Amino acid sequence: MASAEMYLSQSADIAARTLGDDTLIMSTIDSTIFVLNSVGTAIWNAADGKTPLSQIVHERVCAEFEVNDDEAYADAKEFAGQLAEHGILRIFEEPHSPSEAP
Amino acid sequence: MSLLDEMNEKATNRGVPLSAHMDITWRCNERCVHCYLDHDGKGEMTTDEIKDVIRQLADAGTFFLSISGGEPLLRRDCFEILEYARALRFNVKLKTNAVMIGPKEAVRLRKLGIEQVQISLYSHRPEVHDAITKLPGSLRRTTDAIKHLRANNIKVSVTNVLMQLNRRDALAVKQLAQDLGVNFVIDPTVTPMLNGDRSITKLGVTFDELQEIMRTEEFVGDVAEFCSPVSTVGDDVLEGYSCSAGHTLAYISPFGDVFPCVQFPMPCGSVRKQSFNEIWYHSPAFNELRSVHVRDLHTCSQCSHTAYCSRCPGLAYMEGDMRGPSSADCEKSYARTGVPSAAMMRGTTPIPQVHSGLVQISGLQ
Repeated sequence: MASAEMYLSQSADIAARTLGDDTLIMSTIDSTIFVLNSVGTAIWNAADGKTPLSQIVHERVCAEFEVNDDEAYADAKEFAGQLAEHGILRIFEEPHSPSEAP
Repeated sequence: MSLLDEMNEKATNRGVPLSAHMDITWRCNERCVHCYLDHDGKGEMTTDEIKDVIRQLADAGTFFLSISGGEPLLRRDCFEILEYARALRFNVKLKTNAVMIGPKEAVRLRKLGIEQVQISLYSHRPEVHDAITKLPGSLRRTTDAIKHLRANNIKVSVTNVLMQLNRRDALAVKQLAQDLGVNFVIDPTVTPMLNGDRSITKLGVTFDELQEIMRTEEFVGDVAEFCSPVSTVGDDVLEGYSCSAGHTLAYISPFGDVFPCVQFPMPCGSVRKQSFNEIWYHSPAFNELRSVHVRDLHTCSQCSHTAYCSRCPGLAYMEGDMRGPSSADCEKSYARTGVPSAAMMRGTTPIPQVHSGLVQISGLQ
């Protein structure tokens, strides 16, 4: 976990709703649909732009789903990268509020 | 199974109203000859009441929200309502005749992230389209609006409601939609008025025309495949439901009344008297509707068309029995396959006369 910290923020260009453990997300740009499982939903719901990903993983993933920090953090980074590629999640190196988003 | 199908199945199993259709007004600036609504605006919900319902829908798990009317843009607070819905992360579709959408409105809709704008387009000819809407200049205004929307990359879907008045223009409307870069949907059903008056259904296409539509490749794709009867009905079909109305779909009128669907006027409650959740989960009407599986349909469960029939329980309800057949859908299945429905075989729904010959002779039966 030595690399630079990541801060995640939900894009405004999405529609989203959590149903039980899953979250349904649709991009309003290209209508791509994503369904996040319970781990993805936990990260998604905590993506407030202010909490470091490592903290989210530690508090929301490892504590809830009994996985180790390093493995979970690597998976979470990959997950964040995939969602960012589709423009539904934004990744920052510093904390920010949604109004600061480009 | 697609991701959306999976979520729909989960929503059905959990009893979540994944989709909601809200008419925010029944007032309209057009007077379409086939419209099933009256246009009285008296007693409409206020902005705050509508926002409260939208918030309740978000809490209930609704993802797809259609804002419609009447003409929704006649309400001065329409954009405020859309903005509120988008802030709550709904997937929002706007159903409008679009005549009030200019360049500025199109930009606003793009900025709001509206998923799709759905517009009725009756003909490519103003003399036909405008005669149906009874608003002179409406075709030009609607097509101009579509261009503004497309210039902003907003997805547009046009619905071509087919009637005897415009039946011959359907292919040209499809071409116009293609030229405008928008989706095209054909709808051969004229819905009775919500007050039960069925007189407007006479405007619908004749059976012969319906048959012709069902055999037009441009509308149905592979005609042989589309029109071939399928008689096997699996348990999954019999255990299933006719449609999503009341299962994952709710309709809310401008006056706060809740129904299973805009085409299913069975009163289930009012959000002015109860919370949406109370109505959705505890209304006897909703619960009765949810108890009806395809297997329980006294005629349709025995019908050879069951596997693919578009049976609308709302239309059946308007004919007097939500467990019964919908004659409009019996006609569609018959037009599609040439095989009479079970209701037709039992004589409860008339078999339409086919006039396929060059000479029509009556009085010889």
